[in-house]
Amino acid sequence: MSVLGMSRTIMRNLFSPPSTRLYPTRLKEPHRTERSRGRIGIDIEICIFCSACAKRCPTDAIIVSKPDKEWNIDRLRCCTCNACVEVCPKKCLSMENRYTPPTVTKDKDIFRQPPKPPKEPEAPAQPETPAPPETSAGA
Amino acid sequence: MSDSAATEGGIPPALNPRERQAVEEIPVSTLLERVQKMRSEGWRLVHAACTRLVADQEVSYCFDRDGQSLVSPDAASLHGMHTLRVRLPMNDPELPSISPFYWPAFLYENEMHDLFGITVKGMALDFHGHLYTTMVPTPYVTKEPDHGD
Amino acid sequence: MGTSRPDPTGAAVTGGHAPDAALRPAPTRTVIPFGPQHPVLPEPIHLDLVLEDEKVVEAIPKIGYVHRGFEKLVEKMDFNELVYVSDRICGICAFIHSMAYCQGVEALMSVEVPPRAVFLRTIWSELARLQSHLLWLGLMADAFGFESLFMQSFRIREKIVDMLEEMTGGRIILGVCRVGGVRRDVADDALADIVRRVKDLGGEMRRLAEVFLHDDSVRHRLDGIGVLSREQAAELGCVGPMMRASGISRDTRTLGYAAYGYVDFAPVVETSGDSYARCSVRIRELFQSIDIIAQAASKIPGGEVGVKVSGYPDGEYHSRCEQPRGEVIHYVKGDGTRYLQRYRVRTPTFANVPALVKILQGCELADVPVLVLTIDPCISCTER
Repeated sequence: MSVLGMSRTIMRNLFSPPSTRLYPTRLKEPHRTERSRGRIGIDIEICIFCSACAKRCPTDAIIVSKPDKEWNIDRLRCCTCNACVEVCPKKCLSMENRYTPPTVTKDKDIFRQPPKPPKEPEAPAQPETPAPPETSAGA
Repeated sequence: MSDSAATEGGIPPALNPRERQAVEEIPVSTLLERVQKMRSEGWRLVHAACTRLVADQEVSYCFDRDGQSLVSPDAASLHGMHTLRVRLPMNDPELPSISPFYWPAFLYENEMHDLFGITVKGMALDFHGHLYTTMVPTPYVTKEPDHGD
Repeated sequence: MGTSRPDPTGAAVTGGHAPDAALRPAPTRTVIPFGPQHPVLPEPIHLDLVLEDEKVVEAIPKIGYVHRGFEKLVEKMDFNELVYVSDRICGICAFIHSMAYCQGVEALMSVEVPPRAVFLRTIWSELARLQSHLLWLGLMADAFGFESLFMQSFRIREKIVDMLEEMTGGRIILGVCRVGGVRRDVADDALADIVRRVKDLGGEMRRLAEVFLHDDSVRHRLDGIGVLSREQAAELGCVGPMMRASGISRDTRTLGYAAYGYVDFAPVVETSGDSYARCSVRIRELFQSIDIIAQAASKIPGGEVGVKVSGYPDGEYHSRCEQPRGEVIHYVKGDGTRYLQRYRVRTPTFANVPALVKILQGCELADVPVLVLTIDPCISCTER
């Protein structure tokens, strides 16, 4: 027979801080773990547009266009499975640990990351100038 | 059932072991009497499923009995499951219901009817095609699998 | 079927095995639809409750509100990508689905999974079981109106889910299993820390369990409600805690899949078969899971966590695991190509729905939410 079994818990909770967080005013920022799967990030400078990520994506959220040097991801389709990150040969994809912020607009039903500026063509390698002959200090 | 097989004869238990499972093909006409025999021997119905193959379809009824297998057990084998399989033609497939022996089979049979279009006669609880009300009737019936890429 | 009743779904349901009482016309009968939208239900299920005054005489279930056609995806996604699909069959018991699928495909392809991966899978399964049972406890408390107990259960559950996030990156849908092993490793000291924290949570769970098992108001709602005898449970093909609460000692983990052959445990069994017994079974399984996690973490070997898999699956196999709700079967059939021929999931709630129909007969209307929750319904699993 027990009628006030929760009283100890109630007393403890009365004098301790709340277990909940006033989201979205206070985010889980300091507590999100390193491994949390939030969203995919890309370092577009080193991407070679091989489309390995697009082929591996199970939801077809990634669209790669090599001629346009464009890498698109549909955030609402991405299920953060990490497959693209694992398969990228250049390791330019990474999993950030923050969620995509909620959005109220849909641009043609695709939440598209604006295409990054196209890669600058590499400057042709300068022929190495021979080092100036060392002049001996003094005579 | 032993909870840890590690102590038996000093053989360490296998990691991620594979169960012994037997499949037996029977003609549709003998389905009910075989199922009745399974019931009398104390097997429980685990599940029933339909698979569409290239030329016909097969319906598998899987049974399990605690600690028993029709395949003789040895030290490395585990308790297995026994499957009774019937082959049905692609067009107008029909099956008798096994509800007289296993009342819970009505869910599996309704599902087979809704998704694969198999007519099952004499179900305990017949939803007449409305267990899963889909936009396309019998959605799992496709002429050829549509591989996305 | 004697009485005519409103049929909003358009389903003409025949009760071939309906009890005789339904055939005699009775003027005091009403049909009350329960669900698919109901505050107590985590997922939509519809029941047509035939009532005589306040007693339920018959219950006709209807599912199909979240049917997504997962099994058809086998045509579009190859066997590696199906892991992501299997992870997402359920929003509560997700990890064990993906583990069962991977085990099935690994059995077909005769892949030797590294031992460390197998132990990690076991530990994550038990953590998933902990959070699932805590979720059920919370929902059960909510079903009989004890909302603060519901909040306390979820407070503990949140800590478990945070631990899962630290280890794998996901809270429920871990996304960490793949054919050939697991995708993430956990350092040994991190694992030891997790074990210590889980054991600390065991103390809090004990306090929660005391309220569930001994509080008067809770016992009034659970004792003697929805009794399922041992013979009925066997005949209806129940699985999981439903069956173990009625006295049948069967637990799929005793088959020794994954690393369960290396840990010592025994199925948790109660004999009274009522809702209180089911609650008690799940609570005792909480502590059993903590013990299994500690054992597995102490025996985990070193090494790699995944092997490269080549080739295609050929053959068929039924892969069985013990989910928090019971035995789940993943049937995989391959024909030597990249795409599986058939992928069939028989989830535990699918096997428990007939039992729900039987225990609802003869109960009071006010007990219906408690009884529906007592089978731990995971309808999205059921309908895939």
